[in-house]
Parts: sequence; C-alpha cells; structure tokens
Amino acid sequence: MGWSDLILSLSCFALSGFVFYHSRFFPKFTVRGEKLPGPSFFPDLLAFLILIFGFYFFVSGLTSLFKAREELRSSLFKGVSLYKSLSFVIIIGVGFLFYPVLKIFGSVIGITLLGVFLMRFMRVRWFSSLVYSVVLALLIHWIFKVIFKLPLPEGVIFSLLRG
Amino acid sequence: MSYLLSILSLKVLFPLLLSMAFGVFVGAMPGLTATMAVALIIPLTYYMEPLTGLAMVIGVSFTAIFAGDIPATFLRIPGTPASGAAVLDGFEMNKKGKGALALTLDLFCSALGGLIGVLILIFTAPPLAEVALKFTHFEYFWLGVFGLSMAAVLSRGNTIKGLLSALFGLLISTIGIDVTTGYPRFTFGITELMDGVSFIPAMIGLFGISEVLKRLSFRESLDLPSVKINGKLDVLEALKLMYRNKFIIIRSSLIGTFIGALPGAGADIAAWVAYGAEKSLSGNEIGSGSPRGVIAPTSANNAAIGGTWIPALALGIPGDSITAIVLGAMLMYGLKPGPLIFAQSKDLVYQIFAVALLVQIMLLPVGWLGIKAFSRLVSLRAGVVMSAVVLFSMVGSYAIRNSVFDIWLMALFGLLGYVMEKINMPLAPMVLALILGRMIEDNLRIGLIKSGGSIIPFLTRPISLILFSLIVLTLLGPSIWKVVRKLKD
Amino acid sequence: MKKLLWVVVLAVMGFTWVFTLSAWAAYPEKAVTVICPWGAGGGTDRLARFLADELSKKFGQPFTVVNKTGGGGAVGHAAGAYAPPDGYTITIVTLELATMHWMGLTDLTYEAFDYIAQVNEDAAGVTVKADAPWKNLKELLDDIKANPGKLLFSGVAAGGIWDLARIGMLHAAGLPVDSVKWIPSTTGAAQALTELLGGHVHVVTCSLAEAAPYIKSGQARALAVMADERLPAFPDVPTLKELGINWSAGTWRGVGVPKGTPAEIKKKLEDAIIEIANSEAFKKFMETNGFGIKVRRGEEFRKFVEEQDKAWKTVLELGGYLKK
Repeated sequence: MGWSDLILSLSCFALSGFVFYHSRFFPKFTVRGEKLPGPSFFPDLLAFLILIFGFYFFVSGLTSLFKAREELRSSLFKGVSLYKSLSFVIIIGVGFLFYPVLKIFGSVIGITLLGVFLMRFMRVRWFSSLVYSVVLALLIHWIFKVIFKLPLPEGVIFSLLRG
Repeated sequence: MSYLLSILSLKVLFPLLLSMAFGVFVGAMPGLTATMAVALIIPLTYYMEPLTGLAMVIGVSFTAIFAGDIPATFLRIPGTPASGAAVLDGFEMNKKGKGALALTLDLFCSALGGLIGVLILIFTAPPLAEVALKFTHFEYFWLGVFGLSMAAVLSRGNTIKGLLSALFGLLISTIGIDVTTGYPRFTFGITELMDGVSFIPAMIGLFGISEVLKRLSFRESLDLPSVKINGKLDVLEALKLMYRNKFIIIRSSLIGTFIGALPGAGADIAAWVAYGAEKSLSGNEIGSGSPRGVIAPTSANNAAIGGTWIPALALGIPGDSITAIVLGAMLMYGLKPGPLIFAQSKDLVYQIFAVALLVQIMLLPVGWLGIKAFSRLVSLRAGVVMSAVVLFSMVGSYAIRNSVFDIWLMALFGLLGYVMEKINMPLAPMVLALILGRMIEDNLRIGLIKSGGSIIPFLTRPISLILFSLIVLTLLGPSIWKVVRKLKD
Repeated sequence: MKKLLWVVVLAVMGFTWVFTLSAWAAYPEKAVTVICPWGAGGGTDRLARFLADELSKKFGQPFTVVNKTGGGGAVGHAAGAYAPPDGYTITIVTLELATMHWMGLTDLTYEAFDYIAQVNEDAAGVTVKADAPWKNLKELLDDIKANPGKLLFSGVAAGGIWDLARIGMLHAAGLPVDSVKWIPSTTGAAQALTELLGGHVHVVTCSLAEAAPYIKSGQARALAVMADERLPAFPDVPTLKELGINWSAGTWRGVGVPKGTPAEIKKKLEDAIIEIANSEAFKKFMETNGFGIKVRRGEEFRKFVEEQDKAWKTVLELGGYLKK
C-alpha cells in the first residue's frame, strides 16, 4: 500500500493547492454589509479537509514503505501489462472517438464499426462480432433516434451522397 | 372498490400495459430516465382521456424505477439514478451466481414498497404534505448531511478512504454556477460544466465502465457468459427471505415514502438513506452480497414514487421531476391540483389511486418478463456484452442532454472508478456525495442568507433538531451502544 | 419459428431506419431540430413541443425537440446560434439571451441570432401567501420601508429574471434594492412557490402564469402584476403603473435561427409560425397553460430583443450582477 498511499497523498496536495489557488478569484458575498459564506467557502473547506487527508496518507505511505521495503517497492508496477494499458486506451479512446465516428458515418454504420472494433478486441470472432454489432446498431438507432427522437448524427458521408 | 372496477376497461388497461412494457425498456437502458419517458408520453396523452394519460405516466414511472435495478444487478450499471444504491449488494449477489434471486427479491420488494407508498398516499396525503411543507433550507441542509453521513456507514472497515472518496465527490459537485452569486466556479470557460458535472454519466462511468475495465484485465473471462445464472427465478426462496425481513421492507418503504414526499428530495436519496439505515442497524454483513442490502434500497425507491405524488396532489407542488411534468399535464386536462382536487375531481383522484394499486400487481408479471429477457441477453459471451455495455453507456450519456462532452466525462469517470477501486477506495461515497453535494452547500448558504448569517435556526427549529439528533445517533450510536454494554458487564 | 421472429423484428427496424433517411424536396427536405434551452416538462419545453408538433403538420417533415440544458440557458442558446445556418436547426429563444452575457456566463449575445417571431410574453407578479398581512402592494412597500432587510423574496436563482423584476420594482418605487433579501431558488419558480406556501419566504415575484394554480386554489394571493395592462386571466390584479410605479417586466419566448440563414427559409418559417400563433389551437394551448400570447414578427422581434438587452443591463448593474 506504500506507493499508492504516497501517490494518493500527492494528488490530495495537488488538488487542494489547485482549489486554493482558484478560489482566491471568486467574488466575495455580502448582503446588506454583512459578509456571508461566498462561492469560495465550500470548496476551501473541502480543500482544507483533503489537505489533512493528504498528510495522513503521506505519513502512512512512508511508514509502510519503511516497514517492508522489498516487496512494496516493486509492487507499484506489478500487474501492469501492455494488454491492460492497451485496454484502457481503447475504452477511453472509443469514448473520445464515439461522436466523430458517428458524425462521419452516421449512427448505424458508425456504431457497427465501433462495435466490431470493440468485439474483435474482446476476442469475439469476426462473423459473430459483425452480426452482433449490426443488431446492436439497429437497436440503438431504433430506440434513441426513432422512439426518443434524439439527434444522433446522420453522417457526413450520407449528406455528401445526397449532394 | 367501485373505482377499482371502473378502471378495468380496455381503454385504460391496454395503454397501461404498453406503458409498463415501455417502462422496463427505459429503466433498463442506462441514460434513458423515467423522466424522459414521461416527457415523451405526455404529448401523446393530450389526445386521450386524462385517466388514460395519467395511468400511462404511473405505469412508466413505477416500472422504470424497478427496471433500473436489472442492469444494476447484472452489470453494475444503474439504469436510473434511483438504482445507484441497488448496485452494491445486488451486484455482489450476482457475482456469487445469485443474480436471479436478487432480482426476484428486488421485484417483489419493488411491488410491495410501491404498494406501501401508494397506500400512504391514499390515506395520509394531506397531513403528510403539510409536514413536507415545513421543510425549508435549514431542514434540507440537515437531510443532505444525514444522507452524506451514510458515506461513513457505507465505508465501514475502510472509513478513511471512504471519507476521502466522499470529499472528492463533494468537491466535484462544486463545479458549475454558484447559486447565490451566479458566479461560474472551476468551469474554465467550458459551457457544458456551467450546470455542474452531470450526474448520470458520472455514475455510469464510475460503476459501469470501471467494471468493464476490470473485466478486460482477465482476457480469458471474455469468452465465458458475462453473467453466470445458477438456477431459475426462485420465487419461494425470495418469499421466504422477504418474510424473514418483513420489518426491513416496511421500514425502508416508510423512509422511502417520506423522503419522496419532500419536494426537495427523491427516489435516489431515498434508496441511499434506506440502505444506509439498514447497514447501520444490521451491521457489516450488508455490502458483501446480503439479501437485506437488496431489500432496503429497492423497497425504498419504489415507495418514494408514491411519496412524490403526495405534495403533487395535495398541494399542487411537484415532488420530483416526473410529477412536475404531470402537474403541467393536469392543468392541460383542466384539472387543478391542490387542496381542492379531492373535492372537485374526487372520482378521478380515486381512479388514479386505483391505477397505482393495480400497477403494483401488474409489475410482477411485467417485471418478471423483463428479468427473463435481460438474463437471456447477459448470458451471451462477455466480449459481446461488454462491448454493448460500452456503446450503450456512451449513447446513453450523450442522450441525457445531447452533449458530446458528457461522453468524454463518462469515459474519464470510468478510469477514475477503476483507479479508485485499485487502491481500495470505495466508489459509493463518491456517488452519494455527487447527489448530495449541491443540496448541502446550497441549502447551507441560502439558509445563512435567510437567517442573516446566524446558525441558530439550523439548530433550534424542531425538525432541524430532530434531523441533527438522528445524524449524531447514526454516527455515534454504535460506539455509545458499546460503552453502555461494557458498563453493564 | 424463433428465427422467423428475429427476421421480422430486424426487418421492421431496418425499414424504420430507411424511412427516416427521407426523400428529396424543397425546404424542409429532412427532419428539423428544435432546440429547447430548458429542461423537459417545463414551460418552455411544453411550448417548444407544441410548436414542433404544429410545424411538423404544416411542413410534413418531423420537427424534433431537443433539450439542450445547462448554464442557465447558455448551452442551448449557444448550440442553436452556432448550428449551420441552413434552417435545419431552429431555437426557442428566451429572455435569458438578453441577460446572461452581461453576467459573464457566455460570450453569446442576441446578435448571433436571426429572429423569426415572438409568440409569448409573461409578466412578473407580486404573489404572497393567502394569509399574509398585506392587503395590497402599498402596505407591502410600506412594510419594506419600515423594516428594511426583514422580508424575504424569492422566485429564481440569483440574477434570474424574477430577481431582476424585483430589483427593478424596488428601484422604481424609490426603495434601495437591498431593502429585501433575495432567497435564490435553485430549481426556479416551483421551488419558490413551495417555500411561499410553507411560509418560509414572504413574497414571490415569478410570473402570474406560474403562480396561477395556487392563486386559483386560494393558497396564494396576487398583489400586483408588472405589466403595462391588466392580464385578461387576472382582471382584478392591478398593474404597477396603476399604483404609480413606472415599471413592467416579464419573460418572453420566441423562435430564432442562426445568423445568416437564407431569407426564403426565414420567410417560410415566419409565415408558418405567425399562422400557428393566430390559430385557435394555439390560443387554447396558451390559455390552458396560463401563458400570455404576444406575437411579434421577425423584424419587430429583433428590435424588441435589442431594447431588452439594453434595459436589463441597467437592472443587472443595480443588482451588482454586471460583470465588468
């Protein structure tokens, strides 16, 4: 737990520093000459508490590091594999690419493409991933666009085809 | 009784059944909420009789709140915000292969909780609504704090990290326009952040996407069915469990109805409070896949819907976003919700009650079919299900306010959730803090404006005092109990 | 048997998809998006859905309402203003367009829109609980003068329209704007009215349309309305001007399109909306919802918004909300 505690404590320090810095620019809040808790009151309070937790984890991280040097020092990168980091990048990446892809290909083809990509990555065979993705895309299109009438993009490609 | 018979016509029953089937759909789909479904249905109802329209709204809202628990149990994705608390023990039971039992239990408790809520609505609406009116900023502040104190209860055994998780959640909730000065905080010019971090994408990310990321770490498991279901829907076992825990159902339903009746709090908070109350009363067993941890929140969230109709009918004040839409519709029908509605439109009011009772009974077969269909789907290969989960979560996050930004937000919260669980930081306190953060801050500060900066009204008003004592009791109760016992020995 | 069922289901879904791709025609040749900057179920949303429904019938193409909420209206208005100016995105513009940029919530001003038509205007009211001690507005104002800082007003978040209406009224009555306390209401008029009925605030300055259900059921009373003339729905409620206070304020709603939209499309939309606004169905809809009807054609509407933009700046400055 040593390293993760230390990293957590550093995040706490960074976060509270960030809040303290920004909240200085928040306006004061006065009602009929009386100063009341303004916009910075609550964030500052939280940042202060987080700072205290930061110190706690700093100390606990250091002590547990000293207690058990050998095993803990190496534990930081234990279990981090190329595959795992790749899967993170892919899920987050799909999140960021989701809309652009739909914008280009339209909702049905776009979701099919993303579906096949994700399923291939998750060890589904080509044929099944294609079938499942098409069903999924039609289902999503049907629920969100036909029933709920949400503006899923139509696809730049189709607009071009239409002239 | 005559009212019950009067609604038994095809004109009412068929749309009602249709709306309930639709409710299963909406509730089970992350990102589609019961509120959206109601907003969709209302324009259709202008061409119907008021009773038919209202029956559809009632059908959708009860069914959707139940159906939200289905993906919460199978996939750790709450289908609606009200299912946030149902994730905890439901998903743990599912991991042990008891997902079907959890959902059967859930279904019965939802129907029973809903029934209790509706009965309270029928028999005590006017006086209870008067009590709800007594709540103002001072009381809502303490209610928020009370809810948040559940964070400490939720993270017992890992209290320090749990509290830090709640603090992070509170800090995130301060993003957006400050209500008392109109000043945008921590938004950095991003318009989408002006109203704060939207809750549903954050919740889907924290619970759902982080679970997908976890599953991806075990490549081989992707070839297996995503959910292993042992045995059938065990009705007898569920009924036995319910009988054994009958007081929990009643207690949770009462909590749920009351919180639902408050205009400033709804089914989501009700479920968390009922869950927290059960955990602080019956100890650490809850949280690791205990049936009691399923019973409490699922009875409470359905009971809360009955509660939201209490101020709506008795005073014309919306109890939540759904009843707000309903009140608008009622005006369109020429009805005047408020103290006079019981006299002026007595027949219709009693017919509404009859429909609400009927819905609880019909929920059983409809919900059962929903569970069946869904368990069929989730027993596909995990690779397929997880991909579908990712895509549905993204469309759903987008759908809430048609915002691309919310898709990114969801993905980032997924990563955050994964990291937090990796370092043993519980997620539930953060979700709870995201729900309650604004409630606590805004009510504290508006309360202080009202009192001219004095904290005295927070402590001397009767309801405030009661809530404050409740908080002290929940937090210190177990330790005081221990001391008392030691002194006796 | 089961397979057949699947095929049928897929076929149905496929067909609905193909049909939504729609045919070729003159404007509108495909679905039009109607952006509503406020949440589902609220007054603006209901109006948006009604207009969309009628427009769909008129043009034979779906007009779909999209709720783009957030930022006190900033998100939806910005989305509507910066959409491609091809007539396929129209926006229900509301009063906040004229106030939010002064508060520093957005860079967007009224100039980013071309205006189609205004359809609604709702005047602010002065509403108190039924058993409140003040019988008329004068008694209320005298009480405020005698006990500055005692009374609590509410209606909307700080800097929102009903707060501004209150500031303008006090100023016009010759009272300092901080002689009452403004209790921000986070979710708008409904919450403020709840507080009023519970006896936690004294006066709510939201529109009489919003307060109407409670006034009609006898739970609340209206002391005055901030309009130029008495409202047909409330013939007994005096205007501020009758009481010697030169002030009127209210919210308004209309339809806008992104600047640069082709003139023939604007004309088509304007004619259609004016026609709808003059229809019986519209009158009935507005009456049941308690909305006031006020129709201004495109050019007139534009001038009105321009005036509003200037007028609210002064009030925001009085309230201390103006961002320098």
